Amino acid sequence: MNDLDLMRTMRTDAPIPSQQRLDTGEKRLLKVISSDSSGARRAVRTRRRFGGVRVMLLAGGAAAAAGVAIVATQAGVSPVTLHGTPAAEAAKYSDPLVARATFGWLPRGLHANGYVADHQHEKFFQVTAQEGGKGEASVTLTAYERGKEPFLGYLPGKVPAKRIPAASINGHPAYWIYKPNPSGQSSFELRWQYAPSSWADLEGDGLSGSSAELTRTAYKIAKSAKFGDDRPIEMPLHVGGVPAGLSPDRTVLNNGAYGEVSAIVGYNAGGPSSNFGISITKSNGTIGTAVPGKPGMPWKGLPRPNTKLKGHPAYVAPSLLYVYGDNGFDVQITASGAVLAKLNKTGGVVGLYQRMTVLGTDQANWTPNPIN
Amino acid sequence: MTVTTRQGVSDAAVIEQSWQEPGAFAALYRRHAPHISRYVARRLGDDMADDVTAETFYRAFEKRRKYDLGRPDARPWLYGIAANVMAHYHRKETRMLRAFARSGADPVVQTYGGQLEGADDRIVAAGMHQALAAGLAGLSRAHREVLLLIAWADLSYEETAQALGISVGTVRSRLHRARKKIRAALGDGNPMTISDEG
Repeated sequence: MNDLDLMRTMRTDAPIPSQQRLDTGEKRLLKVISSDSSGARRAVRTRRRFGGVRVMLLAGGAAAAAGVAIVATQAGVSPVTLHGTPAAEAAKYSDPLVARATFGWLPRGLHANGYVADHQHEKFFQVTAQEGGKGEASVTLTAYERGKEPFLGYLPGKVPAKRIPAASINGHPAYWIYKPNPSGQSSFELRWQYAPSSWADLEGDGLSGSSAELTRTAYKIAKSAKFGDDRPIEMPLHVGGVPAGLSPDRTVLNNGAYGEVSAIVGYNAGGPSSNFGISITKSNGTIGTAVPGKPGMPWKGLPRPNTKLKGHPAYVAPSLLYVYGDNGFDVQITASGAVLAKLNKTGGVVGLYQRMTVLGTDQANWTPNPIN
Repeated sequence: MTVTTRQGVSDAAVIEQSWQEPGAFAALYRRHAPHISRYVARRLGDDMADDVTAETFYRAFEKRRKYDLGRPDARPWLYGIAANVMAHYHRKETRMLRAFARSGADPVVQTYGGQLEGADDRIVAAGMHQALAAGLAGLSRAHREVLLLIAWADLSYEETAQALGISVGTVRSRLHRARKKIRAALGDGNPMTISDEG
């Protein structure tokens, strides 16, 4: 027996996961898959479950920074076009984050503090109210784009979920996908058709109360929810010079949800290998020390600065930029493929950063028109 | 994608199917989660296994469109993602290993109550685990990843290289250095016959 064999005997001490635990894990995965095939709700669920882990940004296969998940683009849109001048002068984009749904009543201690607009697959807007501090309680309201009834998803064992009968909401048909139950199920998901071809989901997690109390809470929140306000949500950044012709892909603002202040703006760049995302996360003062491996390979932590931009420590590579502590935020810009080629005509990721303004942590300075 | 494995449809085919039918991705979970979970439990303790495994598969699901369909076996890809997730716990892992090295009580066994598998070699080796823990605690993360992917995840050199995004030559050199340190930690009094491998 050599040292590797000895190591292998150590492995046998590890417990074999029970089927029950594996089934639970599969259920969790399927719920995420079914409720959000694009991964938009992943940040919601994973962060809650994953405690203090700072989920790393994924950029063209490279994990690069802390705080939030970034967008990966999908195929299926027309190629990016520029007009031969700096992109800032060429492109006009509508407000990327518009409140298509708002909470009315919420349980004490909760207020809206997280927003997602996702256009990758099943298009929707989502607002989350998560308890501050170490609280686990949260409710999430999702308004889907007008169209057919959203996918129901799966239960454990890949059994398609079924509609569980529920009382109507403001006279509109409703059903449970997950129902609070007396066995201690503290989460729920309630869906209703609030207008013709218009569907909404309300999810609750970690709320206290009996199944009857949770049911009352769910209905009180659902009945007071408002749709169609379409107010642009203010964000802590402004970026000029985003290339024309991109499709808004995913925009996220966490203003205290999941214990962070962060914003992501992502665009579909017209091909499976084309990524483009801008994100900022409130800085905790950490400056990375990781050095790159081979191109396209994962980082092990935050990148070590190799230059300064606007006076801030920064790591710059052709397709990735990371700036520490710009007006209280860490900034990341990633681009690849066709969109990077277009960006390179106007100074690349560094040029885009030079055209970007981080508006700080004071909400009074934020803008509802963050792009171009 | 028509490549098949001993388990039937290849991982690559499952992943490709999940591009159109996201729920199909669950097949990949059923196939590999037991092994990933046990690997994580050995490294970080049973209490971390569920969350780290879940995060690994969530990340894999999100990245599935970038999977190289030319690789029928997704294990290296999944273990590579798991390594990234576990990187957040490097300090915790090192603390656990040091505690094990000091006390002789394996915190991994303690977290689930210690239903150990018995074998003669296993009994003999058990006495060496304390020293192995000390050796592992002293390894850099890069060296530890390579050693454990080979020893505990049963990946080949090539698969380990894929998982970590490094060359096979780097795998060999890191493994060589890691084993050298492990042997040093085992000391001259090692009753086992130490021989080189691979």
